[in-house]
Amino acid sequence: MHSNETRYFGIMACESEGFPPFGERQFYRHLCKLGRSLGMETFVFSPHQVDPDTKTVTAYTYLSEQGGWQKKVYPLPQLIYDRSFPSRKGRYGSHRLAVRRMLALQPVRFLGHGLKGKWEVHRALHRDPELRPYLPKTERLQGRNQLLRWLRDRGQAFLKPVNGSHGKGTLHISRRDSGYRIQARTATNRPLEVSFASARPLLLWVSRFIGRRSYLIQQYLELTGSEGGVFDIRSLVQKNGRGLWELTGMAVRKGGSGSITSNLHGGGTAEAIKPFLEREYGSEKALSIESSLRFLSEKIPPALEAVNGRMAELGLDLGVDRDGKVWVIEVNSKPGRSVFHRLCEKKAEWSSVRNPVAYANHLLRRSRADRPQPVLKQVRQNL
Amino acid sequence: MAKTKLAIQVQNGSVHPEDSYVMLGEALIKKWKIPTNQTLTLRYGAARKEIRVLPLSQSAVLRISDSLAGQLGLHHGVKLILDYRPGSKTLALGPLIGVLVSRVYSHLADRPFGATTAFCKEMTEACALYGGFVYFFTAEDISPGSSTVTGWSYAGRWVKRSFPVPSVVYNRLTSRKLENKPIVQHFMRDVKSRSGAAVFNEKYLDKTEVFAALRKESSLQAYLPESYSFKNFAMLKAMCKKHGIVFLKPITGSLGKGIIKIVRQPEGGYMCYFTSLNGGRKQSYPTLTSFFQAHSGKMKQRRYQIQQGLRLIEVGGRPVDFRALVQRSQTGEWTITSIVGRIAGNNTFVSNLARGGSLCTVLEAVTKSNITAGGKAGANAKLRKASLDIAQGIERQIPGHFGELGIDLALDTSGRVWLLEVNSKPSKDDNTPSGDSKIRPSVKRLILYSQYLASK
Repeated sequence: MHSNETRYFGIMACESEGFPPFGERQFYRHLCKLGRSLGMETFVFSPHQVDPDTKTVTAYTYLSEQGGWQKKVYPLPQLIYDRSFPSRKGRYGSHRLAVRRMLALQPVRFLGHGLKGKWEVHRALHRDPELRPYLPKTERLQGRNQLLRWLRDRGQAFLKPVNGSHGKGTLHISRRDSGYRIQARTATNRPLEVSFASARPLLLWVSRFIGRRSYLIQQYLELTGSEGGVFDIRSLVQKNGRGLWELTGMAVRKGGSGSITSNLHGGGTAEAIKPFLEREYGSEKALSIESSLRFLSEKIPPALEAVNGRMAELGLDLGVDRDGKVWVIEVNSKPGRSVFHRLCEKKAEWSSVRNPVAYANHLLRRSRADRPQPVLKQVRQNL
Repeated sequence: MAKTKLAIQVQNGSVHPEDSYVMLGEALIKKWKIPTNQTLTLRYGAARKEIRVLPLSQSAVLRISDSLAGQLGLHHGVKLILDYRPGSKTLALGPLIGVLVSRVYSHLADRPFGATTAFCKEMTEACALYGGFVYFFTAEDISPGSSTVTGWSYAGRWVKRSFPVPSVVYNRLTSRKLENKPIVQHFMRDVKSRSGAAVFNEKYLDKTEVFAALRKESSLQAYLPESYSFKNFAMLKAMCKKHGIVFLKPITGSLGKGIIKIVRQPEGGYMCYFTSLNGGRKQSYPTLTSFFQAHSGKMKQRRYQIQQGLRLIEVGGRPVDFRALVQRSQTGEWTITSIVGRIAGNNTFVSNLARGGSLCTVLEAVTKSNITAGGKAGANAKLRKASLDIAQGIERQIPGHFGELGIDLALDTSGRVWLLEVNSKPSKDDNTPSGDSKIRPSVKRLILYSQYLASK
């Protein structure tokens, strides 16, 4: 690739209803405008719209001077920013297949590798002794005896699917005087509460609920504020235009009371961290909590890259318990940005959009010598 | 006094408009009752910072901002001893050990200290294991009156940067000339008086000074061969009459150079043995007068020690001596780190390793030697006792702070222990016959003793 060649930067999304046919339109509009201002032809595409004969793709780009979104045919991009969420079952397989076909046509680089399941993430972080104190005790869920042992030793356990998101399919099981109680979220994120008088029906119910999916069993954390509402901290870390990690911003996400996760998908609210932590923990402790949140934001990206390969951005879900202990709850390689919009944090919101484009520009400008990436490895890690 | 080892965690940026805070585990703050509502002094070497302490809820580390770390010369991941002194409201981090070395070859990225580089790395590793930070500097790196020193530290590679004046200075200068430079002398005085640093292995020991000092201790006289500063022919004559073997040793000599051994022959006359850099030679003289006439010129140029010769034990016809490394422990007590036997090389009567000798254990040396059966019993215990007695005698009689001494001892065939020499700059290469573990006990002791000094 020569510097005077046109550089094509593709944002990969899943098709949906409407025009243009995908979600996050506002975000993509900014990406297209910013990309073009840096001299990259930037467009949004679905892998299903690739024409293998001409090695082109029918895609959408935003052109202010032509009044908005335009449908156009482009060559296959050199660099892909993967924003696809093929969540529904049938769709997942066909999306995977379409991506694989596209990659077979010509080598393409991704802005960053995606993360594998939660268990791999946990193991990668656990390798670093500095991060260990911040990881809740976690094991792969392997059997009934293991679950009963956890409940006997700790009184409660948190179960979550290895590949889930938004708190879907999670279970909080606790021992009661009269038996056991489960607070769960179904696959469609509906809250559910059931009680059992003994272990036998509990185990039967749990194994039916879980089915054949892989689960983790985790130390249950009391991540509620003083008023009983659930909250967590979202930290967005991104590579910038120099290819270096930076902390774009942090925010508190508060869920409605009674829910077991604080996902904004469940209709929560956002708040700036400083005033929130000071109110909840006092000013002295707030400083050290903030320091630990920043410490984790600084250490987790390189720790994951060491195992997982180059990445572009991460959304860290961090929890703070009643004692002020900070916990790593989850790491997301396709993070959302809405929390900064809700907070009216203009600077963080703007950086969160600009960083992936600036990083793409950084990658595409580097010499050819730096470029070779094992294509097969890319396929494996992104699918 | 409250002390613990912890890792330094350096964080980019700051959560507070001022950088002047350190974060410590909540459990530690409670246990030591460290106040979080007032200013404390953080000490690291000669550096002092006014800080506030904030509680960290789950990690047993000491976390500071990168700018404070930069001011103090602290690296991420360094393990140090934290020492809380409520009386002076001080948190002391350390020990910050500065090793004064003779020279740096800055163009050699891998071996800036030449053959000593391995020892310097070992010191660094021992610090990481037991707690402490070590850097290395030369006389040229000292800027008089400054509270910082430019030194080299190892973290994957050798890096030169500025550090606070250390809390413990370990003198590894290998020549008296360097040691006597005004800048070095001034630095050592200055760090002791200004920042209360401890300086150990303060100076080279002079053989005459050592023997003269130890002679004052009646309990040590039995270890000392008859020995005088050489004055005149009459003295030579008297010594040769009294002892079958007499040594003449240059007072400022090292590596066994220029030593003369005079052996009275049964049939009359004297056989004289000379060492030089390339082995030895011998020559016989009919009388002491003829020997003296041939050598009096040389003997006027340098100062010599005249010493009673000993019938030392031998292995296969080669003389054996012993090198004890005696070091001060984490409580400041003299302890024996190692004693090894040294069998002299073929062409020399000096067992210095630089002259081609070989190492063995005390037991091996004694068992294989021509020692009498009565002498063999308890030889090891006698060597150990002598080593400690002598180290304590030096401490009592000679001004200056020594953290380690290399004590050269010998056994005569009757099993009596004799002192040959005391070295205040023992080599770090020859005190363990088999170096299988990564950090040698001698290096571990240096770090633990430095911790003791820093906490005094």
